[in-house]
Amino acid sequence: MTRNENGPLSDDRGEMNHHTPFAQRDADAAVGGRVPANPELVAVQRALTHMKEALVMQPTPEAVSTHAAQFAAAVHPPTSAPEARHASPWRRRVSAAVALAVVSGFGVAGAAAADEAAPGDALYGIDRALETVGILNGGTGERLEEAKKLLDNGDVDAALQLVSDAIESDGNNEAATGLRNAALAVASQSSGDDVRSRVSAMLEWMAGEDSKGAEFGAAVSERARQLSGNDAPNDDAAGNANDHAAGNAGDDAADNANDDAADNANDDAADNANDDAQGQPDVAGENRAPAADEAPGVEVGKP
Amino acid sequence: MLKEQFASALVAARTGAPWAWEAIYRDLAGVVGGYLRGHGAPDVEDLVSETFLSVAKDIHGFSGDEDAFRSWVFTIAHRRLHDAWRVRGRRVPVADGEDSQARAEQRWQGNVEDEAMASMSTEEVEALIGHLTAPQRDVILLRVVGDLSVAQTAQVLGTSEGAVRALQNRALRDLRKVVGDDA
Repeated sequence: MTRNENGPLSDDRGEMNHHTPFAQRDADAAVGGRVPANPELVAVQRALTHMKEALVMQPTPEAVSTHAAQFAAAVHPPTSAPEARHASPWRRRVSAAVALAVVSGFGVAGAAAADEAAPGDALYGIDRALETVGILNGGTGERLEEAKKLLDNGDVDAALQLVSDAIESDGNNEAATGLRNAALAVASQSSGDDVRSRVSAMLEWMAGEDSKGAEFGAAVSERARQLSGNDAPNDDAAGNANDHAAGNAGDDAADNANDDAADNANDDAADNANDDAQGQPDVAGENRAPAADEAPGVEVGKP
Repeated sequence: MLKEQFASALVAARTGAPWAWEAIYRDLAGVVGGYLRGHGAPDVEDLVSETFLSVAKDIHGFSGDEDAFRSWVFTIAHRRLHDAWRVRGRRVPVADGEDSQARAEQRWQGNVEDEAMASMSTEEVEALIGHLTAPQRDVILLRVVGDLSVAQTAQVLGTSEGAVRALQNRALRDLRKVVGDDA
């Protein structure tokens, strides 16, 4: 066909009655699956609806997850070339963490046993991650706001991913991994709603926090302590956080400290994700309060 | 449609979050596949995958709302379809006048007025669509199967809204002759 926007198209065969167009609303109804007012088009609408039913085949859940993983992997990292080189191992680990989160249903406690993880380790992991976040010089606020919106929609996984990305783009890759893994570790030890509530509350608070650098680090630790309602491991962490923050604020050589944090968190995540024995039900009640309103009816991570 | 979820899904899709791609694929794979199937595409599943891979690779270049996103996805699917035909050395099938009319009438045995009939067979769909010229088919499939508006359809096909409405009208006229009018 040749296009001709001003007159009859070249495939018009010219019967006279064909020049009277159907009313726009009738035509729209006929193609849109609604019964048109014009009786001439009722049978056409029905035929087109049947045609649609015959042509549209919804993919199976298996096909959805298989393909989605493929497409997700095909997304180019938004980072520039030098960063990308640095980011590549980090991306692998986060991908693994995301996969783990999906597999574990994000919040369904794991089954296998770990030998030595003491109670509170997961919380400690999250503190370590946050204290590493705390030494950053800010600039993540906007992304954290986006993360908050994702959380509002119940998308904990995406929110964490976004926060990880934000922290990474601040140049602190290991901190991002640490945060991710620490969250996973909590996930492995708590019920689904509890995890979401706590992560939601944590990230929401981070988004609203104005302080920077060492001050932020100290505030984060303080907040983490309130969140956990579990003093023993967090006193420790708070101390470390302040030390680290003081020592590393504005210091480009923070990589070593971050490596440690990330490695520990990594180990924690790996161990605890499979560890059912370390549940911490006691934190649920009081900590749900701030976050329950923020993440209603969430169903993330239930593939 | 993902509606209010779309904005967050798009943000997360850019970060490569699998859940976002699941949501997008679950929402669109069926209708994109239906569009390609309606065109008689070879290897519909492969084409759908190629389409979404292109979407994933170019996702950073996209900005807009969900309507714009759907137009964009169908634009890619449309191009992929034509690429597939070109690779196979096949012309885009064109219903040209009497031949297609005869073929369609011969094969069209649908009785879609019958409420008991839930859906069409592949052959009946082919026969129905066989009544349409290729441009009409583009419009009808995008409008009906893709749920696209006239404006979105025009965008996908690179034409004007007026042209889309004209094609749609002619297609409805032609289809009316086939399916009968005892409503």
